Amino acid sequence: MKILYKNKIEAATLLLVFIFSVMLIYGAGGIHTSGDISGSAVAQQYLHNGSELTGSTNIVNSIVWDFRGFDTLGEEIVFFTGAIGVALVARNIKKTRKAGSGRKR
Amino acid sequence: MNTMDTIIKETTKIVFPFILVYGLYIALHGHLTPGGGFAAGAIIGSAFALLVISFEKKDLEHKLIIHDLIDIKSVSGLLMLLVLSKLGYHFRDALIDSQTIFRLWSGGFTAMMNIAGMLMVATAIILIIYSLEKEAWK
Repeated sequence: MKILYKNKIEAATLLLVFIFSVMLIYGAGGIHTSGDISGSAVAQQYLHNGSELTGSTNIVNSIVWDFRGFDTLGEEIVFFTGAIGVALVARNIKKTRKAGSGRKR
Repeated sequence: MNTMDTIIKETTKIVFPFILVYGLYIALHGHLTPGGGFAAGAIIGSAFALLVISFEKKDLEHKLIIHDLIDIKSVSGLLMLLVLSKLGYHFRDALIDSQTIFRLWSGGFTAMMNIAGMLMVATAIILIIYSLEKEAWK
């Protein structure tokens, strides 16, 4: 250990990564295979009562925009923030540069 | 930016409204057929991207006033529309009761959210494309 890693932080990070990898692999074993909804009450609720609860027949769309609508709203806010960030970086810089650099003239 | 020839320009003129109508169709039928707000917004944004990359600045300025269309204020208004439509979920049961399933006028809250999301995604994509292209035009 002392030869491989120079400080304790590196060793601790690698140990944490290893532990989380083991946990992820262990958790991935519990995911249902595609088409099998017998163990998931949420999936059964979506598929059996989804069209009556939301009124829409596209079940994917009703999950995205209705059942998990707040999640989608957060996604939209993230997307909006990205667009505003791009507009902020690539806006007309000439004007601000002229106003800001008074001491150069 | 004087690279695009006449064929691309004329084809863009013909194809552009059809892409807009297709995106609108995807959004309006989002609760019935595959698609939805995100896909429709991406399609409409791609139509404007086609317009922006195939024309020059002087051709676009008098045909389509992009600078007034895409303002940060308008995008904020659309975000507000999204938030308001999200807050209006008290009326969803009454809305669904008044509709018949499998029709265009159905979907209840999902249909409204699709349209609001389409406007939001489309304007965000147009804003990104236009602000990047404005740098290239300088």
